[in-house]
Amino acid sequence: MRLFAFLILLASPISALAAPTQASLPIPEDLARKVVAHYAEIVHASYSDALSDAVSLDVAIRALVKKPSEASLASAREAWKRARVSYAHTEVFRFYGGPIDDPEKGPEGLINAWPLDEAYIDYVEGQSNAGLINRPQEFKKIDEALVVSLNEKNGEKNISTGYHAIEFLLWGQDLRLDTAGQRPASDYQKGKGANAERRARYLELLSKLLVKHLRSLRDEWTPATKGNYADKLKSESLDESLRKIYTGVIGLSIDEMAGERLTVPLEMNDQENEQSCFSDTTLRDAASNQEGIRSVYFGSYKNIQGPGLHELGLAVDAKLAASSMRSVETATARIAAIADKALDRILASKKKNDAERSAVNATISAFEAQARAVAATGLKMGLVLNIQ
Amino acid sequence: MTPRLTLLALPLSLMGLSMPEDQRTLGGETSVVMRDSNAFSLPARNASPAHRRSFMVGNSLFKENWVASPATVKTRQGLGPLLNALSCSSCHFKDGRAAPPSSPDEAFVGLLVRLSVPGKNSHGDAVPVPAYGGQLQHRAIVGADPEGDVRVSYEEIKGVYPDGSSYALLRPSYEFRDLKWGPLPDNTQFSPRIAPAMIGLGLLAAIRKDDLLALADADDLNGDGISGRPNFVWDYEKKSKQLGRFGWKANQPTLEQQNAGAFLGDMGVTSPLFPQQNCEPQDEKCLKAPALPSPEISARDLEHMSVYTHLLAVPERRDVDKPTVKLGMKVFRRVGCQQCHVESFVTGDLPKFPELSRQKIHPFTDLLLHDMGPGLADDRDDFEANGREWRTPPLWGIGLNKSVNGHTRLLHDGRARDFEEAILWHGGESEASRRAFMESPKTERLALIKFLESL
Repeated sequence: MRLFAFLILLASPISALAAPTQASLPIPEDLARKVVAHYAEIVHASYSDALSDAVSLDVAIRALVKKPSEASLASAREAWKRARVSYAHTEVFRFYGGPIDDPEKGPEGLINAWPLDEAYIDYVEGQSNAGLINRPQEFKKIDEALVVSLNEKNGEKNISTGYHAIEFLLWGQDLRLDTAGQRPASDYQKGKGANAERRARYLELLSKLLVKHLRSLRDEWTPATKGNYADKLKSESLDESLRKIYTGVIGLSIDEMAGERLTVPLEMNDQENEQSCFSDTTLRDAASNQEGIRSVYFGSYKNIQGPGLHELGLAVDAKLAASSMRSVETATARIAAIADKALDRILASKKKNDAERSAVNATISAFEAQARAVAATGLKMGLVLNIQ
Repeated sequence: MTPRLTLLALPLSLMGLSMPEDQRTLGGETSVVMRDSNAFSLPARNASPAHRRSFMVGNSLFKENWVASPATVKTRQGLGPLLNALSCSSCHFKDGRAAPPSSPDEAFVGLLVRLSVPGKNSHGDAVPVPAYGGQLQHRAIVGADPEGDVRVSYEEIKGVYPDGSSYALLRPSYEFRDLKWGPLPDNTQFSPRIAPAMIGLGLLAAIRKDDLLALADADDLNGDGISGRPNFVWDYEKKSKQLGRFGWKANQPTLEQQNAGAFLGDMGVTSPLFPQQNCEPQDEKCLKAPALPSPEISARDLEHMSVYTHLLAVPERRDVDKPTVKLGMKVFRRVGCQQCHVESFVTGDLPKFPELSRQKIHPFTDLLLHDMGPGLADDRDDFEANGREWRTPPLWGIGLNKSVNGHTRLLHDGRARDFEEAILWHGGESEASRRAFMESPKTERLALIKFLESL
């Protein structure tokens, strides 16, 4: 009987049981340590810039709330756009449980959750009483505790904080293809817009909260901070610290940029699935994300220069490094070519073989190829990555 | 026959096959490394490029709040008339597991109640309660009325281990309120069920039916006190009874049917598989409420949902080399948990998903029904499952619930506040294992929990 059972098992191909045993190359240790240390420096500089742009946004929002006008609203919108660029640079530092995604206190969901259900926050077309702003009976006082507790409550589209909530409060719904959202400044004028004071208080609160979260992230990466994350990363095994760095690049490139941010809106043909749908800056976000990837790949951010993943790749396998560099350059060129366009207009095009739509498709492929090509070096070193 | 059944029920490791002792890659080559709140949200590591794209579209559908029609948003119309939730992610937040409300003041989110009266319908399924149907929908769109509401409260039961240390369990009781067609009939059977985590479901679909049936031992011929039984349930596509794999009572045969069933039953969204709105014949408001022409979710979108639900990856284990975790694994086996929480399988061929085929996996389930004793019984039949039987839930990923969902509630209705309480609720066929756990020294009890946390 025992033999019988064993034969059943033999019928399943034993070869499939064994993990693939591809010979991996050793990690060039000294260089790899430098790459990790330099990475931590870039992260710190990037979050510092994201913080300072968020502070400028906060200043502009205070000005808007104090004296609502089309001019003060316009300058708040410009400040938001600048703040988005520098934040998008930092997204390559996500996806590995670092300070941004820490299971206990990572603020990612509070900073950057999307897509958001507009009607969760404020009025939308056809529902003038929608949103927590317009329900003073239910949500008496709009304060930090309230908006934090409501964020992502009972559903991933129930977003009440972060860049995209601020974006919606500055632009409103984007109901037209030729422009971004057209929220009037009167929404913030006491006595004019319904619940204007609550909206103003809410907006101020959100920008203050954003600054607070970005400051905490910057501090986590500041070498002077006691118990900072940068030191932890540098003291881990190279298998682990390099895995994290690669995981950020791969996750951002294939799942976020190619997947959630471009494939989904293209496939669903629906601007509801655009990341920055109110301000029409989704493609610019992706271009800034790509700049973040470049900075990690080439070890270069503004005037900070040092070894990056490319140099490490060259030391491991020059051929793989050359192909991954080409993939990074291609992805950069593809997204740069469409960065200034509004995705909702591209999605709405009824033209057959629309050139802009093809350009978005080509960008998706380039982001996917970039993830796989960059991952190849990491896999060659035997790192455990979430891609094959 | 008896010896053969016994032998096949043994874990592979005992059969002389070499395999890594640590079972780190729980989902074989699909496994991912992720420990934060996104741990349950990644696609299989080996997902094909086309599947990865489709997965992302499915992901967006999963997160989406559906809205009643007509609405300004073009897509995602068709919510209701009756519903429990606006989105999949509302209950399976971050693809994870729901928790019961913390007080009777709170409405259910991610916990629903199945209803029936005794008997079986022509499909072998439970008979719905007249006027209410098979599930209580406690929400409705404007123009229709919710069927009623239900609240849960708990009574604390205290107990003591043989070594003198104490424990406390929560026994739930449910109260139905605001029932729109009057009180439920006296012979109503109800079953509260929490939304489980979504990981590894495609791998469970890929386990060979014969491998599962070989583990079954309905009449306990081998006399080990464990009598796993398969559930055979109605397959609406094949129009015949098939092996059930999914759900707390293994009452769904395929993920496609599970998905379409949840769209209709939980959100009121019609699909090609379930084209009729979920309205009882006497509920005129429900029947007249605004709706899109059926189906409200297209076959194409359901296909993306299928790819998504098949490919949500199981994260790798953590801390496998820690001595406590290793000790905990020994305790797990010594007290006999693996008799039902079967550790290892090699999947068969799933034609549409080469990623999931021929994978060596460690789900810690046999997908069979077991009598869990009176403490956990819901006294409600579900196809061939009786009121004391539950399907062994998989344990992979269970140690990451806290990171993903911020809580450690367990069991079919979320009554257990942590691993220890969940173990202590085990009765019926698992009575001997529970006793062995209780009689183990405290260090070993804690080690077992450390092992579970490493999964």
